[in-house]
Amino acid sequence: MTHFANGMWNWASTIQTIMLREVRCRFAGDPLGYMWAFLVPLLWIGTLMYFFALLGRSPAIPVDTPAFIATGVVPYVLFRYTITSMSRVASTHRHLVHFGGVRGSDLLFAAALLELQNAIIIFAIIWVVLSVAFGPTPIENPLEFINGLLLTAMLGTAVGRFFAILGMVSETAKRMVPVVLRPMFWISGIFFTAPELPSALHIYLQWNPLLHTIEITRSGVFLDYTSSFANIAVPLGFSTVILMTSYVMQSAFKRGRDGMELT
Amino acid sequence: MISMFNVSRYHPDKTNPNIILNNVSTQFARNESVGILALGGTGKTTLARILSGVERPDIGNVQRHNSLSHPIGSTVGFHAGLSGAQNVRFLARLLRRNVKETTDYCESFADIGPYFHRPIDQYAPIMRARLGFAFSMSVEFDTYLSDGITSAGDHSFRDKCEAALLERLTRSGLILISRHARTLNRFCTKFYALHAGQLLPCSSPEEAQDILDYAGGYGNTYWNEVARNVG
Repeated sequence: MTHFANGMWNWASTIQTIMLREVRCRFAGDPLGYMWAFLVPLLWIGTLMYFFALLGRSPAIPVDTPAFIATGVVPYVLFRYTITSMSRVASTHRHLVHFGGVRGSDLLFAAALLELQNAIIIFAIIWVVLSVAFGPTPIENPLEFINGLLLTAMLGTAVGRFFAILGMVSETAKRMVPVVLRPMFWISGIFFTAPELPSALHIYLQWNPLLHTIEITRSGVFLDYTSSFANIAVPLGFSTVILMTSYVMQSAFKRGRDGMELT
Repeated sequence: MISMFNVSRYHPDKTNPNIILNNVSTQFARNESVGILALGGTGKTTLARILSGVERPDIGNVQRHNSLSHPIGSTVGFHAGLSGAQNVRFLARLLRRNVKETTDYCESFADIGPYFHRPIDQYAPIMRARLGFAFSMSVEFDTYLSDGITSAGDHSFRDKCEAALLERLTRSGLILISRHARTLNRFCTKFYALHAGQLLPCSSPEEAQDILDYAGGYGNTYWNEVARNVG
């Protein structure tokens, strides 16, 4: 095996070990353990379905309500959990840098990859359930669907890295993360489509990259829906800018509150 | 060989710097046992972190041409929610060591009975320390790094730890950073005193102790001047 291939193999093995450790650690001590990572999003979907039924609301496009909600919740969960997970591993697994050449960036990458894997599993569970309950539910444009998920993962990773670095520098900033992210649940198209909104709001919401990735994901899943609002350049551009900002921050601060290297 | 080239580290900030290392250049050969005597609060942990690569110096660089252990007896890699066995397995995987051999060794060496398979948050501190030391001894390194710890636990276990470490040192090196001259005397053959940001070579731990004593602890002008000249 060449030196490069050997290095890549070792790196992949390190990433896999960190992911496994995170799976074991995250809900350690709880009887349901890592099942919670899948149960919580499924409960969210169930809750939203309940409120849709309670309010007599139906999706603006001719699709089943559970499928519509799932295509909003899964990308949102991917985005949100990636950010939370990256910030968490940056502190809970931080001391692994003492072992075997593990770098801070490995911890962050492993967390992001684990969340992408979880999102795919959650989506697969939902789609199997929907197919059993309502008959075959094909994904109309798999490439566009994958594109939507990958863009969301990229967005979550970039924002996650930014907040992970910020959290290492400032405890206050770390505590502010959930507060800053909370509005994203309401303005990212989880339970509505962008064309449903008044055009006056489009001016503001067009800057929300998560709304674009959710729209792209939905366009990939549903035959009868092609979003005229979605623009791939927004999440791509936003991710690039925030990722660069995280590197500038890393370069400026160099060390966290505990004196250790930032990633 | 582990080499430090013009290494400087200031703490906590550059506007009012507390100098931990000031333009230090030295080399530690693979099989030599080096003792560094330092007063508490003068940068033992920072020096250990810089040597192990966890922390980068502000200026200069450190090159490692042989494997260097995590600090001996360290338990920071253990997750409280996982069992001792699970923690050992994950760390062995990260270090690319045989998982079964490492786990068996740790279970036997730590000798904490069924607790080895229970979450670490149920451990008494002494059990955690035993496991930390057992894991350090379970993995072979070219050079071991110690932030002052050469044993752990109660009296009989401390003897076991020291015997295991001395056995390791028949084929590995050691960089031991401690504030106890007697500890250095037991394990090391080459000595330094860490003073005013400099590693001052000494012929014995007693000489290193004399330097730190004569320096008056933390601020003697004469020794600060000597340290600057060495740097």
